[in-house]
Amino acid sequence: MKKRNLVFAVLVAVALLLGACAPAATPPPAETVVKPLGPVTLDFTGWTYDLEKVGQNLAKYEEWIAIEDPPIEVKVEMTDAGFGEFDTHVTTRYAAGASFDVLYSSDHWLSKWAEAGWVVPLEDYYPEVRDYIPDIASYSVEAMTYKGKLYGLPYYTDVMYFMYNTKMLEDAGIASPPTTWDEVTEQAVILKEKGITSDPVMLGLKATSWFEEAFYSLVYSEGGSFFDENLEPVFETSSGPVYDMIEWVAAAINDYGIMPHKVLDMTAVDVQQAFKEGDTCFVIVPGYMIREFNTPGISKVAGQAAISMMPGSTHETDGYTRMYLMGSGAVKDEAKKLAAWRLIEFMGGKTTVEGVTAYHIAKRWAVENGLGFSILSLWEEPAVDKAFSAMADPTVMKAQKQLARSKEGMAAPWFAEWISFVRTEVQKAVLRQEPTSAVLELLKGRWNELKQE
Amino acid sequence: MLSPHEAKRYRQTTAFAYRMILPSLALILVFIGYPLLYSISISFKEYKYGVPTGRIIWFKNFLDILTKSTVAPYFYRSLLVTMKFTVVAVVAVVVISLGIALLINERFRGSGLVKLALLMPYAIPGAVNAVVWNWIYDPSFGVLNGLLYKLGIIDEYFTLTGNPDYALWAIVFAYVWKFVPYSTFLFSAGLATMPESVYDAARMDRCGTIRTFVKITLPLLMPVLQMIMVLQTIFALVMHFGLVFVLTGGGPGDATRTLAWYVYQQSFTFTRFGRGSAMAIILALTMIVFIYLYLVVLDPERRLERQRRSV
Repeated sequence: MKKRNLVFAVLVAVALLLGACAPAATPPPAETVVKPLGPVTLDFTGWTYDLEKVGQNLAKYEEWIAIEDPPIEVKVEMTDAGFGEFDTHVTTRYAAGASFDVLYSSDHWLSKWAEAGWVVPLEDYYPEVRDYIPDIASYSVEAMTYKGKLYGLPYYTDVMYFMYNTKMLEDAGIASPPTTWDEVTEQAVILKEKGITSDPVMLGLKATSWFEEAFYSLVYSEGGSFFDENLEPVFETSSGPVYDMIEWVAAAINDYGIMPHKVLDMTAVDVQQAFKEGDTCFVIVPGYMIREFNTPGISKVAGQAAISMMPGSTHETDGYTRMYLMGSGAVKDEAKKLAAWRLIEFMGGKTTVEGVTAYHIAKRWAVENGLGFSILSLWEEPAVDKAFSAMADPTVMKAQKQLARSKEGMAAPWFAEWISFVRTEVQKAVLRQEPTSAVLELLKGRWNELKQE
Repeated sequence: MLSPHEAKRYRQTTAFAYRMILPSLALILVFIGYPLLYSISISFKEYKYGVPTGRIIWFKNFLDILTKSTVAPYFYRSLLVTMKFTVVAVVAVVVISLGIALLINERFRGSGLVKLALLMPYAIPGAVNAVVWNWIYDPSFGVLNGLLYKLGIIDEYFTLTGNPDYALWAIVFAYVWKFVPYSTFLFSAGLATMPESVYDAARMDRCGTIRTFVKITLPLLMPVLQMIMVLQTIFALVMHFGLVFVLTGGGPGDATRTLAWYVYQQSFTFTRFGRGSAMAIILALTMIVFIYLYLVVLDPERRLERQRRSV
C-alpha cells in the first residue's frame, strides 16, 4: 500500500514537473486591427435628380470605404440645388469663402470653376485617374480636361438626339423621318396642315440652361464650328451653318408657324413634357428622355417615340458631360482628400464591391434610369445593352454618339459669360428684333473682347 | 435754458434711450451696415473669374458700367426696363390698394373674412409666388390659357412670358398681385384714423363723393401715401427679382432684364463681383433719388407752403 502510494505520488510529481517545463501554449494571434482614418465629413453637392438613388449610393459608399484599404470612417453630407441654379449655388458658396469637397459639374462650368481655383485637377493628387482615359469616349475626356489636366470622372454623358412621334408621321402619310432641315420644315408643314399637331417642332430655347445644348446641336448638324483649337472664333456672320440655323429657327417660328413662340419660354424639360403630352412631333432633347417618352403611365405617346439621326448635312450633334469634381475644400486634409477621391472613384470609376469589380454606379444609372455614359466598356455589359436596346434603336444611338462633339469654346474661362450673352442675342435674332448677321458680329466681338480681358 | 437738474435728467433720459436701442443698432450694423460696407469695398476692387486680383481700381468698375461699350448699353437698357417696371408697378399698387382700402373701409357682414383673404397673397413667400405664377402662365398647361380658351376668348394657347411684348407686363401683374395687400392695409389703417366729423361736415355741405375724396380724403391720407410710395418704390426696384428668375430669366431677348437681374448676372453668372457690387450701389443710389423726390414732392408741410404761395 505504502509502495503504491509512493509510486502514485512520484507519477503526479513527474506529471506536474513535465507540465511546468512544457512550453506555454502559444496564444492565438491577436487580430490585426487597423484603425480607420477619420472620422471625415465630406461636403458633397449635386443637382436635384433622383436624390433617393443618390442617397442610396452614398450610403453604400460609406459602408464600402469603411472596410477598404485603408479604411476611412466617412460621413457624406449632401446638399442639392436645381440644375438651372446650380452654378449660382456653387458660386455663392465659394464667394462666401466656403467650399465643397466633392461636387457635380457640367462641362461648360469646369473652366470657370477651375480658373477660380474652386475645383482641383484630380491627376495632380491621384495620377492613377489617367488610367481611365482609354476607357472613356474622347469628347468626354476633353470635356473633363482643363489646361491639359484631367479634373474629374464622368457622372452622366449624353448627346442631343432628334426624336419624333412615329404615329404622327404615319397619320400624315409620311414614310420616314426627315434627314435635312428642309425636310423637317416640309414634314412639319404637312403635319400642321393636316391638323395632326399645331406645334410640330419644339426646341428648348429659354435663355437659361439647356439652351446651348439645343443651339450647338443645330449648328453641329450642318458641320458648323464656333472656334478653332486656339479659341479663335471661326464662324461666319452672314452665311454658314451658324447663320443658317438661326435663320431656320426664325423662319420656323415667324414664317411657317411650325414652331411656337413659347419655345423661347421652354427648357428641354418643358419640351420633354410637351412631347409626352402628344403636343409636338419633332424635338431635340437629351437621350435619357426617350425612356420616359415610351413609358406607359407617364407618357401619353408611349410606344410612339423614336430616334433618328440629327437632320443636316453631317448629322453631328452636341455631346455633353456631367462629372464629379474634387472641390478645393477636400485638399486641406489628407484623410478628407483621400475620402473625396475614393468617393469620386466609387461614383464615376471602377471599384470592387462585394468581390465584383465594375463601374457599379455608372451601370446602375444606365440600367435603372437610362442615363447615358461615356465609359466605353459599359456597352459590353449585357444589362446595359439590354436596357438601351429597349429604349430605342441601338444602331442609331451608337451612330449618333459617334458623331457627337463637345461644345467648342467651353475651355475658355469666359465661356459662361459669353454663352449667357449668346442666349439673349440669339433670341433677339430669332424674334427678328435684330438681324442675324448683326447678332453674329456682336457675338464674335464679345468673344474677342472677353478673350483680351 | 435748462436748469442743472433738468439738464442732468435730460442726459440720463437720452443715455437710457440709447441703451434701449443699442441691441437693434447692433443688429442693423451687423446685418446691414457690415454687408453694405463690404459691398462698397468690393466695388472698388478688381475681380477676375471670381477671384480678387488684389488690385484696388477705385471707380473703374463704375466707369465701365457707365461708359464701356460691352457693358454700358446693356446697363442703360436694364435701367430703362427697371424704370418702366417700377413706374407701372408702383402706380398700379397704389391705385388698386387705395381702391380696395376705400371699399373695405365700410363695415359690412364678413368684412373681417374679406380682409383676411386679401392678406393671403402677401403671406405667400416670394419664391412660391413666382412658381405659382409660372404655372398660371405656362403656355401649354397654364390655368390662364385654360380659362381664356374655355371662355372662348382665345382660339389657341399663347405665351405671355415667351413674348417680348408681354413678358414684362406679365411680371408686373404677378408683382402687383402680391404687393397690393400690404399697401391696402396701410391705407386702411390711415382711413381708420380719419375724423368722422370732417365727413359729416362735407355731407352737410352736400359735397359729392369725388370731391370729398379729392379735397378731404386724399390730403388727409398724404402722409400714408408718401410712406407707401417710398416703400413700394424700394420694393419694386428689387423685389421683382424672384419673378424674373423663375418666369423669364431676363428674356425673351432682354425684355425683362432689369437692373436687379443684371446685377445678379454680373456677380453670379459672370463672377465679376466688383462690377456687380458697383451696379448694386448705382441701383441703391437710384432708390435714394426716388425717395428724395417723394419726400420733397409729397411732403405735407411743403405742399401746404406751396398752396399758400399759390393763393
